[in-house]
Amino acid sequence: MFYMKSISRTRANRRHDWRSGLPLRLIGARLRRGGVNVLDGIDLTFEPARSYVILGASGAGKSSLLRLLNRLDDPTDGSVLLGDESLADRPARTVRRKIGMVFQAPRGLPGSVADNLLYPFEIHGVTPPTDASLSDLLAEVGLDRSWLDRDVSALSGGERQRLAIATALAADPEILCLDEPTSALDPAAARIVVELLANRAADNGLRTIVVTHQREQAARFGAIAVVLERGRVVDLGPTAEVLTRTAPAAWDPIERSDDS
Amino acid sequence: MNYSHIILSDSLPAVVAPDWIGLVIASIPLWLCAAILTLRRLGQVRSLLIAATRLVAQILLLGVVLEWIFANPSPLTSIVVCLAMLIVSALTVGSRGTSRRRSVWGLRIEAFLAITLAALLTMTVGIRLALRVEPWYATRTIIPLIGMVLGNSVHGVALAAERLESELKADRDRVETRLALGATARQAALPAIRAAVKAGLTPTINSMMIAGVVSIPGMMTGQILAGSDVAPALRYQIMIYFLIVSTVCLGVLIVLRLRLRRHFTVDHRLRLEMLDDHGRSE
Repeated sequence: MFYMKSISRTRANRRHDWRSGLPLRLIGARLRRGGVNVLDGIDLTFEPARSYVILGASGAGKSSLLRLLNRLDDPTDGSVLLGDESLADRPARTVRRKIGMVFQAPRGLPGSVADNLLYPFEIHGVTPPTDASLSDLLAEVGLDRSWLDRDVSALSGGERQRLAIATALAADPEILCLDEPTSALDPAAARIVVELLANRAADNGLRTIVVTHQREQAARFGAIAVVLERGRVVDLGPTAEVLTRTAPAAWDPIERSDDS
Repeated sequence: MNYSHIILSDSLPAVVAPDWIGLVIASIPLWLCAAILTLRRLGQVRSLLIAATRLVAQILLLGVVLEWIFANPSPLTSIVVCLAMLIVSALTVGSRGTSRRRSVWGLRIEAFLAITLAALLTMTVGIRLALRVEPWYATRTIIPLIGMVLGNSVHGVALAAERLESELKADRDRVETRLALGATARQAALPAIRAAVKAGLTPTINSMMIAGVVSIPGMMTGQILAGSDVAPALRYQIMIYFLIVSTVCLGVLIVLRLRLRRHFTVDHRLRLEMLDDHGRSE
């Protein structure tokens, strides 16, 4: 099984190690951008040891919600808490190491595949892992083990997407937020990603929060589904149940055209 | 023939300078160009004539100001003139093509601070330590020198600031990817900073590369025309280049540092509102 010396277990960070199994909660979270409430009073709890999937039409605020969890944005009103402590009271960099983020349609960082995988270690000044363990990581996301020296510009959209997931996993987060992680993947590659996240959850306690439009993926990504509409939570519950009571038209057709 | 434009002196070789009639004669090719542009309907005639008129007016005005300043040397005159030049040069930053009025003033203030700090340092070294002029406020030395240094450094500072913003805008997703992995603002912006430093320094570095080979620098030319020996003129020119390139470099570094504080929050968040587009819908 893949093993890598995790960033969280080294040096100064030991104090901040909160692989704690604490719930992540949004309380009245509002995010205002360009005069519009992109998120309009979200009350939501992400329980530990559960995987979540966030559904909703384009513009519903799904990506903005993820940005709050990773502190790329702070809520205009309300708060985001891990346990009883506000994320805003912790250094953003500590939060981001623990709550990772994979963006929609990632381009990857300029340079080689290895440069990307090593970036989290580089910025934290941590001893980098061996090439063998980087190759293991590539294999884990279904990329060729020998691609470490390959330039990112030579990768397809789907390959970059998986590289971004591998890079985020290299930082060993407790919670990983993924924005449309399989949008550029064929079914086989999508299955690899789904299985990888499930394995990580079982072996490593990784908690995932996945934004997706793809109804058929939703059940596989998260046991619990959250449906957003115009910046508000309109449904929450076991994914299978939520899917039966939400009309496909609520997000599917609009989304596809918007994906680029 | 009229030889009045040749001034003879005991100590210096003959200094040749055009008289007023000479200037009118020198403008003949300019009129010729204007005529051709008009006849061929190629445009630019208006701009050309306006530029020529402005040039004459501005230089004459500068002459009057310089005459007065040199006639009344005092620490106050030197400081006031230098400050005025710094302010005017900072005002030229961001005068082209930026749509956001509010941020333009922020940029100008930061450019002023950056250029002032950089010039203060390099001019102190140049004037106090290298030239050792007395008194320290020697207007005749300080003002032409600072004029040359500013002319170059403003350009570099403006280019660097512009480039930083355009890089952050174009690479917004990558900057945020780095931040999301736990990078500091500086780490996340490093490629943009490097591009901005390059943009700011390249014109000066290029002109140093070709100085004396492809181009004969203006200041050296001026001194030689004014009758100076070649050796002191070239030493002066080399010193000026040292001062210019270090002012540009320091100014660029300072302005980028100040700009970064505006583009990122203290907790390493990219301020999207500082970049023109508001990005994706979610």
